[in-house]
Amino acid sequence: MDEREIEQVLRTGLERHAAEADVTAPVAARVRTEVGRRRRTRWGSVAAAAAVVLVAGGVAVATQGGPRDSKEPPVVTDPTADDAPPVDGDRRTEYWQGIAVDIPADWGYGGAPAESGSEVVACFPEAYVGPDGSHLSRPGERGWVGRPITMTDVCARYPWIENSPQEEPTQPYVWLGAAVEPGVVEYANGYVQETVEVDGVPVTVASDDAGLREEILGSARPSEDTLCEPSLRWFPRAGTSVIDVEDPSPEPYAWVCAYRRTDDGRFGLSYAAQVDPSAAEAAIEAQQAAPDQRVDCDYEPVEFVVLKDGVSGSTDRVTVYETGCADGTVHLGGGVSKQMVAAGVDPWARSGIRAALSYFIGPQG
Amino acid sequence: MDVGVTEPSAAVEPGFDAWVEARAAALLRFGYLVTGSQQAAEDAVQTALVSACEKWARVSRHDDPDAYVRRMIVNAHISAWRRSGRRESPVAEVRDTAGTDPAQTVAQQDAVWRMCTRLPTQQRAAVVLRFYEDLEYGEIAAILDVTEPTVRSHVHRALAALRRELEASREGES
Repeated sequence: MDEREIEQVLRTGLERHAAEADVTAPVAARVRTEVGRRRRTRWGSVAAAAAVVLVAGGVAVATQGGPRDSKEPPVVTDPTADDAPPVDGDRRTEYWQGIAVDIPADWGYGGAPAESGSEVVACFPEAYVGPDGSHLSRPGERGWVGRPITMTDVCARYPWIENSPQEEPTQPYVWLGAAVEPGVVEYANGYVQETVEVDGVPVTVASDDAGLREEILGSARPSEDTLCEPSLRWFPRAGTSVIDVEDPSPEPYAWVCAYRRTDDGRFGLSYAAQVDPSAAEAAIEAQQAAPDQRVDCDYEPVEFVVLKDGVSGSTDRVTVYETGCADGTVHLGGGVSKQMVAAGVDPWARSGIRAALSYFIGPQG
Repeated sequence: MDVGVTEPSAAVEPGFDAWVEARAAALLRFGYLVTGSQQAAEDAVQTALVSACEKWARVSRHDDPDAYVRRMIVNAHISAWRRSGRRESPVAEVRDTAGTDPAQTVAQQDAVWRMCTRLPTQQRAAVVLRFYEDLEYGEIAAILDVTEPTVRSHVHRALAALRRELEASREGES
């Protein structure tokens, strides 16, 4: 059978199956009903909101400037291109547990193969978050760094199912800590995927550019240039330490470190980045002004964020964001816990952390 | 104090009703091919049409409202698929039509349906748009919001998969 005959079989087959559809379904009537219902609901909400404004107007002065006491989780604003992370030349460094890898600065963030029960799946294995942390309106159109974290339910089985789009990569990628055995996979379109282990952590690079693969794999190294611990045995304690070390040029610093529970019960570093020290200060000030957290969560945390800031040789402050406890709880040290608020998250919720924390799924995502 | 809120008319946008009456059957057939089931087709078409109705003033000014709504049907189905958390395409469901067509034709058409139901949603939409709606690659790329090479790749792979299905089917017969 030649190509034209195959196409004809396809056309005929589709036409036949299209004829099997029940076109008498009262779709138009259902649409009218649904549109009417939505309009009533929407206008009902407008009426309710208007009523609330009238009531709240009398007490607005009393609540203005004070902390927002809401049961809703804080809504974090979307970053813009202005929030692009600092990069060294045209490369930036990505961290996973104990390793660091340099990748092109304009790559986005996505998923990578992870174990899920008895199988391995990759959830959203393409760039869906940009380098500045914004959600991409056209995912999959740039290279990406993938982490084995389930941030969406759009998943593909790995190794890829035959004829799936993933069998023909169109963008280069790096996977950190993916459930992939060391080795080489050659795709039909010239892409080559190479996996090596660095300090026991799998690092995978795929590209049709051998030079780029070599450069990225060559940059994989133990991460010694971050203040984020690669692994924590216990949930960290918040607080400030005074360091008495002579530093001839003391400088403020701040790092944001995200952690996820690992199979051995520890917490592995899933994301690390430097942040502007003044942004960290603003976040912590906002949290200090937030309402006290009175909920005592009795559960095993799956993920959390540590914000480390201070002045070299002088102070070291640890603030812990427990994102899974009561819409977010922030531990400031000295036994003080506050409800997490948007202004306490916004300053550091930039770049790839939005693809590394489940907290940013849904309303935050 | 009274709150001045007016209930809007429940009637749908002018012109929408007539358009839907004229196009519903074709859209349901398209939805059936894209989703692979009657229920999913009705859900996707209804979702798309509700959305189209709510912005009908803009949609109706579109050069080709049909294309716009077909794109919404594909997106509605992909969104529903994502919400359901399913990770695999549904298993091919081949209807028993033996006796209504010559055996070879039936085998070929069943092979088409088996191949289609195994394709990821976007790829299946590309195939339906190309070989059922007879659209050009550029038009399909615009509807699916992907590049033209991606559409060509989807279609090329689907044809290769169908060729394998047909060969397997013939080998099974012999």
